[in-house]
Amino acid sequence: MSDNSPRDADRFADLIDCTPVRLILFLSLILFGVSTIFTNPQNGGGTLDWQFFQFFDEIARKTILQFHQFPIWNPYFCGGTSLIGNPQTTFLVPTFPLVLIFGTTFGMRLSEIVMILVGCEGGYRLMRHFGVRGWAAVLGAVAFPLYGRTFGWLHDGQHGLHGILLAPWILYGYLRGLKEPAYLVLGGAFFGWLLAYRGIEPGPQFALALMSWAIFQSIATFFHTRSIQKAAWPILAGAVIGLLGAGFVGMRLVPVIDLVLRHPRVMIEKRSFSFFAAFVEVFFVPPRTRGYSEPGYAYIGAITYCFFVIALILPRSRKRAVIPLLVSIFFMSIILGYTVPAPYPVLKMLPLYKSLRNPALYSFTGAMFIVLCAAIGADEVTKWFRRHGRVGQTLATVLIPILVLGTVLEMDWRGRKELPPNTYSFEPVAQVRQDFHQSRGNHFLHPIWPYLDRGTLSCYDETPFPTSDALRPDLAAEEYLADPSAGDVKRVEWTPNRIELSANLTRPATVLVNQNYDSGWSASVGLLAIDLPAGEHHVTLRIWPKLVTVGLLYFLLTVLASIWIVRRWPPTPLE
Amino acid sequence: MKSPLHSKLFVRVAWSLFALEVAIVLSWAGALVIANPPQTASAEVTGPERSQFGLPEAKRQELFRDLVKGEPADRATAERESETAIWDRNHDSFYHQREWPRIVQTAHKHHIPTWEMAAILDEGLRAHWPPPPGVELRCDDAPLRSTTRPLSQRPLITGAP
Repeated sequence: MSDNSPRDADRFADLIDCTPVRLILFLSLILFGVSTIFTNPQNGGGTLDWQFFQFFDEIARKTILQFHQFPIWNPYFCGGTSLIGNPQTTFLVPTFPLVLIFGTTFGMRLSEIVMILVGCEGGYRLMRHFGVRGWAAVLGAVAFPLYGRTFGWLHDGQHGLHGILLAPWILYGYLRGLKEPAYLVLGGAFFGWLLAYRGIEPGPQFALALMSWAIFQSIATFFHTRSIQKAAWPILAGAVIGLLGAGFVGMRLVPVIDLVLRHPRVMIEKRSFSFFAAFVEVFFVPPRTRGYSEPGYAYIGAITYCFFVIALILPRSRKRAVIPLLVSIFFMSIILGYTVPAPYPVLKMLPLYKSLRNPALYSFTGAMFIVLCAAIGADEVTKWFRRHGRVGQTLATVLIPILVLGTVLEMDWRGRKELPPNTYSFEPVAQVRQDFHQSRGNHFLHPIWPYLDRGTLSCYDETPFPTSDALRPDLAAEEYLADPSAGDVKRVEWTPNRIELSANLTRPATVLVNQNYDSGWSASVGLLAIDLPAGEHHVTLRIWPKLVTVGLLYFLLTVLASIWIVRRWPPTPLE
Repeated sequence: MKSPLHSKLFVRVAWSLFALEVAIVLSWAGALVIANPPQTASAEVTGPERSQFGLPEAKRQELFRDLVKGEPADRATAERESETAIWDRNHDSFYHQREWPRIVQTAHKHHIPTWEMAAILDEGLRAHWPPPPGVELRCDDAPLRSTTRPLSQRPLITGAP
């Protein structure tokens, strides 16, 4: 290095400001960290969670590619349950084509690479919005998407929780949207993506974060302007993002909300954490063992955490990062669980939030705000160094890059270690095309059944899906008459969302289909069923829940509203 | 003054390099899938021995018997250690947790893939193949009810068997 002048740092900041340059950097870092993904492409993940989510994505893929239908109904699970309304599914997102093209298990892994990359880019834009440049911005962009959970989820198979990596984009859209409302559409689009990507946990968490940010922003605005109207705008803008986000995936979200409210997830966990665990250990201590609630669960890098503490201490950075600091502390307080009477115990009384498990999980949203504060802290430290002569400039030019680069590489290296070669150890399942039947199944071998064209009556989900007592796993024909002496019934065509039958009856009879009934199907007596008079009949049973239509209308309204917003307040381009 | 790093040429070259990196990743992924294509198998039953997946029916029945002979013990464990009095989803879940390694181990013992063992179990139950003496197979008296058990009630086996 020829000299240690600020020009060197500016040169790097200019270089990394160039979008394709930083995308190359981000993608290279990600590929190094997750290279295990590119092994055994037909193998499933070795954990039950991997297999669980592979099961749902395979059914969505099968429904689209084999039956050319939109994934509405899942006949392979618990004797038939809603697929579009299942909050655990991830098929209505921009990365799902990777699953369609590369196969389920490999496509799921590739999707996660895209999510991490998009997360890094969103993080960088958010940092720049806060005026953070250069190495500090790189730290802010990378430390959240490459944090402990990203690799933990990749190993453990909590596919879809990576949706939280879109959070920087939503916040960026929100903050820019406060001045240019068209950016609320951008924030809403990413919020919709997050919601559709198994948003059952990240969705309510980020909604809470955005809401708390909006409240803090409103209070700050009121103190600055003394105008209630101006102070209300941050809250209104947050609500707009929420409504647009929900609308963009309304077709799925409306049935999901209906299902979650009708059949709340069963949770009786009552965990608590110490102040040290909630405020320090979760984020600061390098992870040693896997598992929820362990130290380092949402490890953001020890140096990153130190910069967060600096942001808390230095008056300049505290002023710049006042709202993210407040949100960070709020989320750390949630992690305390039942140690204190609020906020977690209060949250557990609210709809949706009461079905979220384990307060430690709030760390994966809180981490983003801590990283944002840390980047602001690093930026302030850099500026402080630069104001202090040649030694300071040398430190700014050498020490900060070393700390940031060291942190980024350490996190990448730790992540790489989290994904050993046997991560994808579930042996491939052959596709066996045959007539669909319900089987006794086994939910510890989830991925097998759809490949064999078998539904598994053995099933497990946190959502207590109602299932019929009359389901049978050993029928020669899945469609039969309640009174077999009344004639005969034959399957003409079977698809997940539509079943065609022909019946020849000597007297009125009930045709039963060995699947659960749910609203949206044509008729029911617990099992999917239809009463027919005597004679010959061609019967078609179809499912199209009314709520899907409601969601579709909501989506169309959202698109129209978005177009109106963008035309009414044309945005300046992204930096 | 605008940095030369933001000149149109520089940005174009940088975008080209990024596109190349993405293309390499996608090609790598595509090549992996081509080299390791998804498996398929025919469900067709053929010949006088009624072979399926390359196994005669007599052999499949033998594998079926070998698999289900462990059922009574697993069911007894499930009923003893599960928390409800009637056979419901709690029992069912616990039973299947015990059945899972049995399927995997029996498949390995007979050098067939796990999915094939699962398919044989399904075929045997559907065709009501006779179980070994002393084994009562249960597949239609275990109604599932929406009683998904709360979390943290019972430790789960976490690793693959």
